[in-house]
Amino acid sequence: MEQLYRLSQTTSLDAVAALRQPLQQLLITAGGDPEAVSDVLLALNEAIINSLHHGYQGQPGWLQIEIGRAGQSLVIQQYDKAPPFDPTAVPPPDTSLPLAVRPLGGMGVHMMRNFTDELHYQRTAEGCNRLTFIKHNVFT
Amino acid sequence: MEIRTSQANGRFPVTIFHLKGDLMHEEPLYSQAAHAVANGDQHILLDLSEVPYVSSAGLRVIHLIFELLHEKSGEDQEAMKRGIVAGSYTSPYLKLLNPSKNGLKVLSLGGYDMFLEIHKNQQAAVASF
Repeated sequence: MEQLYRLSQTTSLDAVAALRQPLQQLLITAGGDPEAVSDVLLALNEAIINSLHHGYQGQPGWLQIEIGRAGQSLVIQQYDKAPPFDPTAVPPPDTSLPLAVRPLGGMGVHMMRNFTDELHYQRTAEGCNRLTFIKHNVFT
Repeated sequence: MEIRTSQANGRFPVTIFHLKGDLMHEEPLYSQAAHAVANGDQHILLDLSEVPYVSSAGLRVIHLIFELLHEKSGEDQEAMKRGIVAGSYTSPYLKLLNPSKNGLKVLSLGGYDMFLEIHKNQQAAVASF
């Protein structure tokens, strides 16, 4: 896999928005389809916020993000050292329910699933949560 | 996020929150909407023309504003239920204006576009309340 980007640092919720624009530019410059790139960055953004908001309980925390290209696919791996959390095990929300009776929340994981083609979780031997996002046909 | 507020009159006075920037947090929008509702505003239009990105937290604050208005209005629960069953219910109190392509994608994924009217023109949106 050809690595396009790597970040490994303590990050805060306030810093998350600043990541998106340069990443989008980088991936489009690398030949990524703008809409597909945008989709996968929506998913990544939700994963980062999830790690910081729930995993690290709103405090700054260590994150590692690796973005690579495997053929025509975009592969993103995100690591954190928060308590174990497997988003792939979260049941999908019922989005047909009217807002008046629908419980709040649950949309972040829903976005992660729907804006990528594959979403995998692993708790690593080093005690990290590792989420892998794959979006196919990003690069042509 | 920057928020500018304006008022417009159709059949009802409508408070318009013109948002600028990514909608990624509940604040400051929720506090401003709660303040408006506490001061008697009953019809809110969220202008999303300059919102490039809506996150799950953005969906959450839209949901919270819907609930604020719904609870304050004393909306006829039976009529609402009939509308929901018939698939024709949309909020008479909260509407959205001109979301971006990304924003619309997120709203649709969450099913919000089924229960909140989305308009492309401010005048038509105000007149629709």
